[in-house]
Amino acid sequence: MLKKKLPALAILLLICLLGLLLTGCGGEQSDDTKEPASEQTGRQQADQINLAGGDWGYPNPYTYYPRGPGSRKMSLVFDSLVTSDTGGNIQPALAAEWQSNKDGLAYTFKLRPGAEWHDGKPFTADDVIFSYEYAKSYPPVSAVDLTGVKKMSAVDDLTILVELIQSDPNFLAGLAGLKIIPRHIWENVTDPLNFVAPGAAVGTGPYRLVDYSKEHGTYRFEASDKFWGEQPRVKVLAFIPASEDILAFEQGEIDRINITPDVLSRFESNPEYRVMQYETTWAYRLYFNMKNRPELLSKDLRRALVYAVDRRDLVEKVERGAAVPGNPGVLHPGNELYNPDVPQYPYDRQKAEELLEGLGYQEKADGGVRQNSKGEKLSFLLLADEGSSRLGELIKQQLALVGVEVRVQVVDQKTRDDRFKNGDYELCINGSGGGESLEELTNLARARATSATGETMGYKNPGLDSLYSRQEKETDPARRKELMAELQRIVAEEVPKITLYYRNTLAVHRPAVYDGWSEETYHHDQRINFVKD
Amino acid sequence: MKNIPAQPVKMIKWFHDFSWSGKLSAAVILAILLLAVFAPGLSIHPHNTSTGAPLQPPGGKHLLGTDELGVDLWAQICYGARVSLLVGLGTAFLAALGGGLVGIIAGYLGGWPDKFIMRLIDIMIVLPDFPLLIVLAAFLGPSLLNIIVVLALFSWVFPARITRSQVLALKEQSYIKSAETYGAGAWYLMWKHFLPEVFPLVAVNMIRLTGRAIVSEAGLSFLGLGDPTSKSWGLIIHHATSFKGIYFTDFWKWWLLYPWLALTMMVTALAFMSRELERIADPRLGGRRFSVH
Repeated sequence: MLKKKLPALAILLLICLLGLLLTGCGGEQSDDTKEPASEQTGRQQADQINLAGGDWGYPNPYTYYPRGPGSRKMSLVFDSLVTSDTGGNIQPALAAEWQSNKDGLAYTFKLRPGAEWHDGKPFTADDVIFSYEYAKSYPPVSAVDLTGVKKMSAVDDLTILVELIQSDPNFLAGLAGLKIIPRHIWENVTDPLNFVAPGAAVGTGPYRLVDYSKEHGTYRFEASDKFWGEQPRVKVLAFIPASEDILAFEQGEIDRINITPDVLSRFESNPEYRVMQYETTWAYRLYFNMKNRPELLSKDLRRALVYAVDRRDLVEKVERGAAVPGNPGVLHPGNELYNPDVPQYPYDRQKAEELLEGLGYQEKADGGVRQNSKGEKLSFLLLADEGSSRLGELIKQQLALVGVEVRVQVVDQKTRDDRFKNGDYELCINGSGGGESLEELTNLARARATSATGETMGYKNPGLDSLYSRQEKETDPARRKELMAELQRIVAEEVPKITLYYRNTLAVHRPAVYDGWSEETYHHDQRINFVKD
Repeated sequence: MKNIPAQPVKMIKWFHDFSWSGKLSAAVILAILLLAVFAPGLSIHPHNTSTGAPLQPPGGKHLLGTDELGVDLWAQICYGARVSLLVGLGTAFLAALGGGLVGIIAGYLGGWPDKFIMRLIDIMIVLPDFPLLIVLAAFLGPSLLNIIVVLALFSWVFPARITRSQVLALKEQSYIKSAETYGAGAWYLMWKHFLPEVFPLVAVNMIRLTGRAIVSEAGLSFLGLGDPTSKSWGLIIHHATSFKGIYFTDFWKWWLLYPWLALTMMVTALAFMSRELERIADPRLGGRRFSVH
């Protein structure tokens, strides 16, 4: 009897469930009319802040994963002599003050007296010299560019003397990348890439690492009472797993999230929340591998592709409007060095097709793919990670309209980063905060060890290279701006890479929990949110 | 369904024996089959290029709305049916063929080949298949063929067990014994006697395997391990669920709901269908036996 009724029952249940789903979740609950928004500043101190976790590697200079979140967590624990703020100005850190001699060939740094390592040992000039030497024999995850340094020596326990080969306006910025590690712990470490012993996260920074789980992607940092600066405003910083950001935030499990414009209305009008908006230089870029596909060395082919990619459409669809379409001159329009007078390549399919035809790709073979008289097809493999798979999909659609075939290959982020670094792709979408890098278009010999920016494979332009090194050495701001404007013009003319768009960020938090979030940075885990440096 | 012998009268008879849920399931399966076959005709819009504004609600130009790239959802579901059916039927066919052969060999030969095959089947049954599927799919790379082969690799054990037990019973029948004494070879017996006997049961099992394969493919696609170029239902669900904050917008009401509904309907229908046929085919469940000769 029951057996016969079972199927009928199951269907009935299904229908009920469906009905429930439709009615249950249909209505938007809004009860935000209780009280008018009072102009209040939220709490500037907090005992604990929880943020969405994820594994970004063990937070020391050798073991974090080469992406922003990894390096920012490492920076909570480790300090450098000087730091550069969001405006690019150099600020004191472990070095309280410094001066250079007249010809700019020697710098003297006075270290902060009384600074201590997390394990209670005093911090001295010895540690700085050791860190410098160590970084030379074992390059850390983020390459330190101190090639201009001739000699670094300790004058006394709290004084460092640095001699340069030639005067270099970027010396201090380079020095900001050198994280100081304790000599007494690292002295005998010969395999730093695998050094994750308990002492491996002993630094001088505002936070000490209390717990890290690679498997769960969780971190726990506690404010260090040994910190040389002002006490951090947040005592405990925890990164915990959160599968659905918004849900976890609404339930108070995590304290700040990024949102999309679609859910903005949910938080905007509610006085319990505060939404902060940022225009960022975090950009998605399309890279050409001219080594693997030499036809991409043709400027006109690259230009045709730029004309055929509707960057505005990408912004509207993939980012739901919350982005700034990419500038062919690479720099964000908000950058003070931005040059608006560069070729802009508005979306123009006809122009793209004309250019392609001019290159001999006239016939359309099966499936509407263009080919030249030799039968070489305009067909490319596009490497994308999961986060940019839809972006790849849309580019594929757009390029198909002008007869260029794109096959999208989606891999996970770490694989994409790895293949990008090794040049194992034809076209590649990569996105990072290094959205304004002009350096990656040059062939200047220097360590490029970040996954954020890479070398533009196979692209060589000596004029660009020399211009780039000239602007790097230029000390006069006005002259540097001119050089940068010229650089942008050349880059926009040549389009060795396409900047697709710069992402805007909407972040939401509860002022009643903690309101010390910085206007300067859109990264929740950035040190500046919790510590005054 | 196409595996049921093409004797119209008998088919109608069986259909008459179906309970109403069986009939409904048959109708659903038939409808989805038609959807898959006539996908190009049924959808006005292309399934792989955007034809409208992103995230349009159902109604108007787009019957079931559009996804975030502005691609028509109805077209995607029509074409998705093709992928799902291809994976389902392909896997079931491969598994039934392979499993059936292995089962017959094990049952007929007996001795150590039988023991070996049975232990192998035991191991395969104990292995948790989905985690292994994930590993294999990630390892072999995303392609539809790989998915079908991998799914078949994990599905052949069920038909193999069924056929083996059938063959073991048949082997002792007197007509087989007499055929053997007249000099019938292994192949002859297989084709003439074993296969026709075990076919109905395997066919029923195939339907169940089809459902399983469709769900597994959807699961893999949902996890992002499917073939990104073949727009299956699982992939639509994957894209919808990876859209940030979809549950806090209205978009899930079409973008997620309809592919989910299609998938659920298909799998439920297949499950009921296999129950129904099992009832008819297996005398122990109170139905009457059907066979092809």
